[in-house]
Amino acid sequence: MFDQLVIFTPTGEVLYEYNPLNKKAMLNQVNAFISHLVNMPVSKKDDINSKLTIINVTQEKSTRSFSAMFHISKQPELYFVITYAEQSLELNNEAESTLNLVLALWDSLDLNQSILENMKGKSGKNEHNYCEVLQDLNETIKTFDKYFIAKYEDSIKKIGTSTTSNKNVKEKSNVKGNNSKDSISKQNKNQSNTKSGGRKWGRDGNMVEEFHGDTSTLDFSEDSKNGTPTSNLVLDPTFDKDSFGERTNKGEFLIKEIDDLLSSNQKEQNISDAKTNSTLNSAFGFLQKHLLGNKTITDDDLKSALTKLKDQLITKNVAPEAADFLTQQVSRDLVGSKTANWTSVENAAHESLTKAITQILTPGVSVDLLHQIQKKTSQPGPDGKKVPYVFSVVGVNGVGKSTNLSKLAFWLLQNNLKVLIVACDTFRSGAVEQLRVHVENLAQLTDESHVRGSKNKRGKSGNDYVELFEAGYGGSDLVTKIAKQAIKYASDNDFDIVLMDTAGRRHNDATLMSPLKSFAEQAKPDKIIMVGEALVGTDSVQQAKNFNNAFGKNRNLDFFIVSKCDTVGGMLGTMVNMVYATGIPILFVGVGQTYTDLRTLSVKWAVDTLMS
Amino acid sequence: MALNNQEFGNIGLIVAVLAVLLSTIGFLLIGRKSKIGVFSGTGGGRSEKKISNKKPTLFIAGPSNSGKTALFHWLTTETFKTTVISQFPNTCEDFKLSSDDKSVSLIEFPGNFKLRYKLLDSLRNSTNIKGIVFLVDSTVDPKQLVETAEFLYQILNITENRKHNGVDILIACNKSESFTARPPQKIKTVLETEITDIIKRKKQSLGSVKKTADSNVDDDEDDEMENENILDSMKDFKFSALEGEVDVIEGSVLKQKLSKWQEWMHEVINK
Repeated sequence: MFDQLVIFTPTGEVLYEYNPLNKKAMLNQVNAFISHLVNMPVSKKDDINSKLTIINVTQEKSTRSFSAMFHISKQPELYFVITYAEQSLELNNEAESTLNLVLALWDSLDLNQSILENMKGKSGKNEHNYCEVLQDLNETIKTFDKYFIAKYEDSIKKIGTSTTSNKNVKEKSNVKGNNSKDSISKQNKNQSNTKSGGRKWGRDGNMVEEFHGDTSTLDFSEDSKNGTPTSNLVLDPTFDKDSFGERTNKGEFLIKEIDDLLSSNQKEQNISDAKTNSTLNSAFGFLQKHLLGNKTITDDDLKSALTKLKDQLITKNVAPEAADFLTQQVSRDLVGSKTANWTSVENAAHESLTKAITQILTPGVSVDLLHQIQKKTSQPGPDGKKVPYVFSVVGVNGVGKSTNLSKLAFWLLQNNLKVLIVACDTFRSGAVEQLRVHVENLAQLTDESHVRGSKNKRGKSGNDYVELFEAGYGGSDLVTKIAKQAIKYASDNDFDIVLMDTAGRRHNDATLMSPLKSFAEQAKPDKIIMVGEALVGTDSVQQAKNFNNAFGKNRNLDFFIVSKCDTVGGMLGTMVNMVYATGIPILFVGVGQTYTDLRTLSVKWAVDTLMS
Repeated sequence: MALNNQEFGNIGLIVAVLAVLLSTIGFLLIGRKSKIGVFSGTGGGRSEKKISNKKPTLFIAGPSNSGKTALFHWLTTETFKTTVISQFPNTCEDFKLSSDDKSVSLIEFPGNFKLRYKLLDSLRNSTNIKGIVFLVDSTVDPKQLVETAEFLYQILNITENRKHNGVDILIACNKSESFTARPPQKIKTVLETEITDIIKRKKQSLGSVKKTADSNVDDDEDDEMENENILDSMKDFKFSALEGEVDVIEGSVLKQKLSKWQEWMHEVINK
């Protein structure tokens, strides 16, 4: 049994909701679904067919995840969503058939057309000069409700009969030995359930137990109480109207009515499809497309414009799959809509692509790093000592992890925070020494009197503000050990920030990537930063994905630093790739060699550069 | 359009049709000019234009789950609707608060982080902003108001740096019916201190990437950088020091305690 069915507009109005268990306040599930969709538009999706898609959503602040199957209609844009506890064959099938039913009913009641007209404000306005989406449609929605519930409960009955009869036999002793799917035994069971539970009659087996709160009173199911027990239930789960031939009551009529409606609508659709095709190739259409504007855009119109834009994106280093996704967004945005006056389809597509890239690059969460640092370090831990804010930096070899870590350290030092730099790269020879050079530089920059190579009062490289924590070279066990020791040391010695440099690793080498998981679990960094270079191009999609997945199910990267942006000119495609692949924001970009060449990302700058 | 279904043989007819349609479109264009820049709600015509929106406009903004869409529906239809997170702005183009009021565009923007650029763009492109209703969920713990303050700061950064006078803002503390609701005065002072902190932090943050010299785009962003200084020059942020008037009033969409907000809107619309 699914949790709920909701139909809503992208502007946030719920048009129809139904939940079979009659629970209340389930809309936060839908909200979690929407924010998932907005923040991670390309996360794992399973397309069942061209219409329906499933995603798994984890709710914020709770570990419970759920699945959502949805369809997004285009004209008008409406979301048809069914949420349910988890993906299983049974639930998936139920959700799929239910959604198909909903869509068919919705179409056959002509709701789309009327809603479109209301959205355009054609059918009269109220005293506030506003036209409701469902103006004059409340009756139709009621009909929809009636039809849907009738069909849905009917389908449940049938599916229930076919899939649960064996279970029922085992559970209920009074029908022991009767393994056939005979309707008479079903009736017996149903009757016994009615007596014991006082529940609604008309549903079989386990369904009854879950249905006790249902308020939707259905004529046909009540009436069928008096139906003849000899009715022959057909076990075919498809909606075959012939299967109801022998039952004669009101419910039967209703379902026949619905079926007639559904089949007649199909014919109509075929006709109207043929109609639109004939108008496509007119000369006027050509003028509208290129000059006049005010044209309803179709897939064909967009094709050439989109290929052009896609090629442009690819020359800017955007990976083909990311470019595909972006152009899909454009066609989703534009197909069926009208271009503004005097706007060609190309311009409209360009505009829409700009929006798509802006949206993808804009962070989905607050990225006020200083605030988060202040918040954490201002509260002492349980032992009264300072709790340092821990960053760890990961990435492929040679992307600039140590360099950007030092830049970050420089910025933090400027904000009067005490920084402990930890050499967790215990693998590459010279890695520790390289960090020592950075620490010496930073110490000199914060305190001019610092003598290079001198030790501070704790006997370590650096000075009071910045210090190097090192423990030589060794295997991956050593890395975790160093990390834990460093955090304790920082806490003992009143450091605000711990910056951990890790060894560079190839993202497609499992033996190198696997230690990252235990590292993240043991060291529990507040922020895991991945450094990616702007130079890399298409491979960045896979890099970002693999690093993001390396920390296990419960931990993701927190943000990216894109280095070497000064070396690629306008080819900033890597940024789009990385965010596209993971939905994780870019916070900083490296734009040069010195400690001051770290900048926050300006989305506008990136988009303008990409689109010029 | 039915004419287009005919065969192409009759060229004269086609030419005539074209002429008629061209002139019709011309008229449409003139008739529509005033509406360009206002987003139409859903589905059709979502292509926002960069042309400035000159119509008098009233904005509804605020963080997610503060009750914006519900307020919009209450104002436009006087019914309470179940809502979920919006992904696109809600628009009512010739909104009349009551039959005696002047009509304005009423636009309600989504509060999700990723979608805020729509509001900020629109604020930049509108020349005749009557006011902004900034909804705040007053049941939120004051310690968690940082993000709300940040959003408000982003808005103020645009409105306070316009060439003329700033914009009136109503900080509408919604959900006052709840027993965990904070009084508006408390919310106001929290927002003020949070914004002071944000200004401080902004100064300490790394600068954002500047445009490369060869880019031919106009320097919008430089303007903005300069502008930020106006707000950032305040050492101790106070709403009273702003050019636009800021009112903090409690109310509840759910319980329809909206009369004070409506009075405020009535005032700014007819100003």
